[in-house]
Amino acid sequence: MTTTWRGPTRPYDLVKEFVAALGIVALLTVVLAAVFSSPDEHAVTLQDWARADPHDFVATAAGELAGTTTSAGYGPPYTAEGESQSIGFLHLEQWAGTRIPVRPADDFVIGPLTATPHDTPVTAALAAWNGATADGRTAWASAYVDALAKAKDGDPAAVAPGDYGPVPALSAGLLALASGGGLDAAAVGAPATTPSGFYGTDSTRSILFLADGAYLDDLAGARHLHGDQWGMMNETGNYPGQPWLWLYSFWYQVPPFTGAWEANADAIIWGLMMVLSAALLFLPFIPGLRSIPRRIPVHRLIWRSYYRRYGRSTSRG
Amino acid sequence: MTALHLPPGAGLLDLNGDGSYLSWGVLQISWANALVIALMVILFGLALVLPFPGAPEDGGDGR
Amino acid sequence: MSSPPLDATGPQAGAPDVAGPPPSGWTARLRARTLDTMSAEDLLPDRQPAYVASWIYVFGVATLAALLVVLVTGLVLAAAGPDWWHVSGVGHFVNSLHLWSVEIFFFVMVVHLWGKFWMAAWRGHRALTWMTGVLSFLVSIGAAFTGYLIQTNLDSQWISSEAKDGINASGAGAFWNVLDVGQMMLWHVTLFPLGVGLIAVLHVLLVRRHGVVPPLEAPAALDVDAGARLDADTEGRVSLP
Repeated sequence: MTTTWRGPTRPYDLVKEFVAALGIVALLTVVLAAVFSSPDEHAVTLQDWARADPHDFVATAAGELAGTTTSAGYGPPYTAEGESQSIGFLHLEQWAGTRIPVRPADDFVIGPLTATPHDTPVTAALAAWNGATADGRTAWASAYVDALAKAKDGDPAAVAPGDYGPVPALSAGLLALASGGGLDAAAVGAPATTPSGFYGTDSTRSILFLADGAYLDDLAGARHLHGDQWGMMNETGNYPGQPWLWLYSFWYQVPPFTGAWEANADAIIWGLMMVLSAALLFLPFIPGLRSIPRRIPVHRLIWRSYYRRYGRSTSRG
Repeated sequence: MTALHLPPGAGLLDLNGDGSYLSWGVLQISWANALVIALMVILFGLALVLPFPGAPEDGGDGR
Repeated sequence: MSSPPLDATGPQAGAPDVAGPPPSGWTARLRARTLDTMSAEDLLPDRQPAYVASWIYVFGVATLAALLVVLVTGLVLAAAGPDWWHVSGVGHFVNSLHLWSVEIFFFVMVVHLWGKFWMAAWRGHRALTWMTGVLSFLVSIGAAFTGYLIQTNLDSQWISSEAKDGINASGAGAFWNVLDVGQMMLWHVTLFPLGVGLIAVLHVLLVRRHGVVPPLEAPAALDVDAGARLDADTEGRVSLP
């Protein structure tokens, strides 16, 4: 016998208890599923984005070419250059390396345009882009990004005249490709780490490109899914989400994570949650914490019938 | 912004659409999550105080 | 912690039929450390200590039951493939079963954790029981997270684009790509269920091995194991008058 209990016992049918629990849980699950169902808001395609918010799409395409989008400046694991996050001297993100290489301008814009047949303006624009220097490309694209930001409603048709090179034609060409549904099937859908684009099981590039724009972000904000809306806990609609993530979500709402530490907030909060999880794991060994149950005697409710019969000792523990 | 969802699955009550949220300062929680957490606390409390069958008030069988 | 194995030498030719020299050889030693530490009655007892008389005790078994419903509904979803629930009413219903059983699973598991905390259930060499419980909670969160990632809908698009920042910041994102729905799907249906399952089995075996923790403030005369002390490494035997 491994149990050391030699005191009073009572009959207790574990298997019956399990079967009863299973029946109750299964029934409750069926009732909840039948009454409330589950949410399924359809995925946004690049075509959806191009059609619903073409101005944002064009601005994002130009931003990829200018290297000003989130993806372009992300750093490891996607790009070698960029600000990665750190916790003091711990540069974990950087040390892990650029293992999922993504080249935003080429992967999201030039590549798909090159891979699909186009009319002459886009072909000429591609030739101009490919024939230019890196500095020249950046100058054109940055100027166009700034001009779009100043234009009324971000409308490319309302952009002030300027030297933007082939960037307007490239952005317009990508918009046309996306609006026709071709971009979802083209090189953006290709896996980031393997050559073949036939089986699109790696959605890395598509999501990075989509998340560079404001469209997905706006959809999420309208559904209270942003980090600073406790979004990590939430589900779309009125469905319960992930209430167990309350503490992870909490830090994103308060300073200094919303202020001075914002640039490294993800890294620091992750580290903090690792420490707190370790504290929960090793609780039995942490003085002070492990004696809370003694100081706040909730157990007197749990074991009250036992204490009534056998007494309760207050001289120890 | 466009709501891009198909008609909801066949539930009796439709929980899709704009969610309802409780706000108090920096705290913001959906009614759904708040209800879940409240139910957890209530059930925990009930589990502590409700008498357990087969366990007479004097503490059960001895042997 | 464990009583001497009852029959450590086993039915070997020429071996005495009593507890003799310590077992030698890998097989005998493995058996001594595992099978011999618990009898069938330890694994499936039909009696419990008298203090196991509170509704708080049902939340552990409820967690196991909910886990089983999660696994079975997940198996059905896996059998039909990741697109099925988007296009089929039955598939959508099974997805709903899977989602609500997960909500129930976390609900009862956390209430179980609250109960075990207020009982200081790690006492009496039960630290590992507590730790496997916490581990199964943490790994379950990972499992649920990958489940949300593979919904292949708007929610999963957003969750992956947000979560990547936290996971990348830890350095793990370079190897564990939350934007790669293929990788996340395989983790969700193989590695995480295996992890949660194995840890849960270990946890339950530990509960059976050490028994349900005796009450705090138990009367001194009963001298129950770690009944009054709160640290993880006391041992004791009970002798009733």
